[in-house]
Amino acid sequence: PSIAAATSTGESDLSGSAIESTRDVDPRGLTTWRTTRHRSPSGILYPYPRKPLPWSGNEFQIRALVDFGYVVNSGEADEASFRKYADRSDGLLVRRFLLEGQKRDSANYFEIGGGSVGRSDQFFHGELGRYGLFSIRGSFDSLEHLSMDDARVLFAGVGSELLTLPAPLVPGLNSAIDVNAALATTGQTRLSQKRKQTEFELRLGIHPRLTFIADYRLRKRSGERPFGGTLGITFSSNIVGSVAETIAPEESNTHEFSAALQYADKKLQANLRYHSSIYDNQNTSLTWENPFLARALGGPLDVQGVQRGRAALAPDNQLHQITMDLGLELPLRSRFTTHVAWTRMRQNQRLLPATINPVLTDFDVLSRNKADAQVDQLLVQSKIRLRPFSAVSLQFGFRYSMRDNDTNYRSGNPTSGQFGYVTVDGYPTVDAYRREDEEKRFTNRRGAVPFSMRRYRLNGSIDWRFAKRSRMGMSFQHDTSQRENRARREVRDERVRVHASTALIPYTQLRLPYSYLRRSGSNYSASRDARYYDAPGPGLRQRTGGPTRSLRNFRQFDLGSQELHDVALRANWLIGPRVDLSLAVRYEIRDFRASYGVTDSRVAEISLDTSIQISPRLTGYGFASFDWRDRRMASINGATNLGRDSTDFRAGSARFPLSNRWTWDSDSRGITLGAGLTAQPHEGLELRADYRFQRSHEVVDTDFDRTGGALTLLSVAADAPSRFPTLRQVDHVVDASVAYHWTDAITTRVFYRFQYSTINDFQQQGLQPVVNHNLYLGHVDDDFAVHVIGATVRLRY
Amino acid sequence: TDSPQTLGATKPIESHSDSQPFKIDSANPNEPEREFLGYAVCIGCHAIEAEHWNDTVHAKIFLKNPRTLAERRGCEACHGPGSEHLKATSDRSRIISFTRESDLEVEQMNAVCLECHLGGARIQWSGSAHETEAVACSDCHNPMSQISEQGLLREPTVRETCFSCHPRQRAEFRKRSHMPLFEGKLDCDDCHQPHGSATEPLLRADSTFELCTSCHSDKRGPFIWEHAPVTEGCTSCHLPHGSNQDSLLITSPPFLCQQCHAQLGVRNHPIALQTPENLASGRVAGNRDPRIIGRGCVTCHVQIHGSNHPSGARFHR
Repeated sequence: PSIAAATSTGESDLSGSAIESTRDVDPRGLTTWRTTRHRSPSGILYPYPRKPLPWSGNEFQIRALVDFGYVVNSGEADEASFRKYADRSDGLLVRRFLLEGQKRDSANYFEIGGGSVGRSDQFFHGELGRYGLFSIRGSFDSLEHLSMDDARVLFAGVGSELLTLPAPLVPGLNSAIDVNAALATTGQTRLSQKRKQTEFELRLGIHPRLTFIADYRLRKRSGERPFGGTLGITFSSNIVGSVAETIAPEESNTHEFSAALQYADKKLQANLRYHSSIYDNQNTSLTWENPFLARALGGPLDVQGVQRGRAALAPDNQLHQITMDLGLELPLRSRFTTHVAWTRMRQNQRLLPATINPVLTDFDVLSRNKADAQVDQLLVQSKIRLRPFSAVSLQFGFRYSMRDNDTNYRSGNPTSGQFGYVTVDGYPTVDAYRREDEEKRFTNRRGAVPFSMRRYRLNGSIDWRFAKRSRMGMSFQHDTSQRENRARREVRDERVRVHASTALIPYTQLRLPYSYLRRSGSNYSASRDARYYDAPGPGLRQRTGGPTRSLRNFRQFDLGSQELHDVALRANWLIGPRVDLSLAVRYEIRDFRASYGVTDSRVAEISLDTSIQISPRLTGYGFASFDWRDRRMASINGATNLGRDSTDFRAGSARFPLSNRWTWDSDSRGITLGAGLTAQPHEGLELRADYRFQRSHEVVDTDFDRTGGALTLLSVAADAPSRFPTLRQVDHVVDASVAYHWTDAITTRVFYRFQYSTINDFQQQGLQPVVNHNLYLGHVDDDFAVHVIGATVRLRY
Repeated sequence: TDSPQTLGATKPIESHSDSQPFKIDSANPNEPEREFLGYAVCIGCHAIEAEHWNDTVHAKIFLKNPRTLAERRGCEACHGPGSEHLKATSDRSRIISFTRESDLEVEQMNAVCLECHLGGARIQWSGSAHETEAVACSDCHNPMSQISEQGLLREPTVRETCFSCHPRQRAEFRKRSHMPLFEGKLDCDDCHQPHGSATEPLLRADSTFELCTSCHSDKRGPFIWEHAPVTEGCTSCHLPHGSNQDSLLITSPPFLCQQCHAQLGVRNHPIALQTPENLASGRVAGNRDPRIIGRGCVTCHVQIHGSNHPSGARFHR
């Protein structure tokens, strides 16, 4: 975690939260006089405080702690889902160490700490400073993202930019049987990416009103990750094309630097900050050898096809940003604030050749050799708050944001007048570069679409405090977004929000917001980026041809008209002097007003939480959450090769016959339950037990005309089921620990975790590494049951 | 209990004679004038409180290196002058307090904190989501004790503090794919700035694109071939906290992609969702359509966040 932001310590939840490994509950509580528990203004119980760690020494004081032990697993502990981000392997475990020092007569101090030492999720942090004046902080944090532990990798060269086939496979001339035979000799491979982040921060109080902050962060990523690659389309055919799930190398550094000045007095507050982020990727491309036979459409089957494909990996890039915030107290208890941010993102990577296919020699010349891509952004946001009366406030604001994309890459060969691009390396005769006088029916794109936009927002609100700790308010917001090169040029949002919060009801705190959004806009165009297919670029001639071939009645959900109702309730009940109960409910319904595309969605969420503080020696908690999401859409399969040059793309046309209409409904539900107890039955003895259950499942239903219609391409049983197997995951986790505090300096702890997880994903279930001319890594998230037992000793000085 | 001197205070705690008349509610003409008593008087009665507070960063600044008049006042920097409190200790109206039982409005409590914590992100506190919902500083913070390792939070960690009002997110972070929150590798405030921001969800950046690409900088580009929804925000396709799907996706591919893509192509690709191989139990064993298994569309469209290949218009490369 970023030391500038997060306060988390980097420790996983393997055996309780980090703070609990360093300090113990103070049985006296936090007060000399009160016997009742303290609550926050919203009525939430404060937890019992932890005993301050004692200092040793006189003038120079130190305190230290180390918590270490051993941990063992049994069961399927190597399963990627269990170890995705945390190192839970057997072995020595240094949970935490901490060394703090301070000069008793001055405000100078230092701190060094860390945890999970020697493991892939280890972390360290240190700080040096003088309270109230300056601090220098540093941290190191490591993380391993385990993607899969069961990959069946055909290729040699994993982790490099070139993936080669093992003998006797010949690039571009193998059958699925050949590939299966080669795979039979491979084992399971672990694919993971390691992230190591180092950060330094200086905070200097130049003056009580003026602070300087500088921060540098280096994020290094290494390893490999699942990737893909295509040398032709393989669906609807098992003889043409080649698709392979490949492995991309990961070796990159991101340098981030920021420097900020913060000024604050009662009348004026201002921030000025410069931030830069420089991404440096050590790998520019991934080349893989074709494991199958990928040949030209209509070409002979036994001729060696394209031998390899190549993808460009993420380019080096830079971001530079200057931000300014200003807050100004005005007469009559009014306040003005503004935020301005200017950002430039740029990358100028050298471009790869248009294809790695040596047959396509016509395409050696690019319109330019470097990307020269640049995006500028500007955000200006201001608001003024007026308080004509102490109980009433009015606020007015505006926001303007702009994204200006200056990237105008044109895809073509200016020396020959060819346009378009090589769609896939393996298809030399289809959808590749075309000369102006060639076939018109393929709409090859000539230029990158630079997505630029402007957004304007006006908003106003009124807020009234009508009784003690009780407020209600209403706000209105109007947004206008103007986008270049998207299906709708202008989108307008009107949003009204009302909210109320009150503590008038005895032992209750209520918050109740409701929002209504209506989105409308200009005409919807299905051929929004036609000019990037049809318009000439430098050195390229005008091309004639049909418009983009989209279902005209289709609406993209982020642009289309819609209505949204969103209502929520948040209630805290103080049901006893030592018991909290809170309820959070939300319901959202969104109508997209579309016949095709996403048509509507609904979300419902309910959460119930309780916290019980019987005494410092006995506390407990419980929670339950339920969420439900339903999302529906409709579309029409296009008729194949019928009226190919027709310009009628409406629903019901020859291109999109209504008999090809289909619908899709995703119903997703989740339940999470948890409860825990901490008890100290005897002096020095602490017992903890937690249980968590989580179940999520998603059902996808489809519907279509079973008489043929959508399925005329290929035969299908008329009674084919329309519900996909349920995507389901169930987790049971039991955590328990017993600690004994032998003295203030020595504590021993034994902890146990049992995790049982089952998963059923129809996209993975039964997935074989080779399906026709598709090569997969064959990863399947498996069920697992793992027992973790550990023992630690905590020593304090 | 330690005195300021035994704790190493190098500057005197402000005595009442140094201070100006103080009123909790300056608009109230009946408000009595109060006087500052000093830290030593407070700890005479509040020994346990002082023991805890002395271990906080506030105490270390106030007692060891106070740089302002307010900081020199110790307890009374936040709780106000104690003279009236001393006269009737059980009368809460005579002292500034920050709990449920306080007589003060939330704005008044927060104003005390904002006396010192003026700048930085709090410039945008006014009008922010938390301010509008009348969230008090002391709903999230407990400056009386070092409960969290940093930030004087009410709970031991940021996430536990946030979950008490945002319980749904706790469930989301437990889903099949999730950000590594419970693994301790980030916390809510890595992405959110609870004290105020230029965005409604209190993001640390001005947009979700800027926020997400601050870590996932390989997705930032700009690419020569851009994917429009990527440039506008990652949440069109991803749920930021957790999801039933792999890679935090909002739903499974190819349905995810077909929510926006309805154009024709070779062999009706990609619009033809309903092929026999794509049906629920179509030719599962023999001829499963690559669009429906594994990673679906992105097996081929590998650079879906943007491609820098001269022939990468369809994000294949």
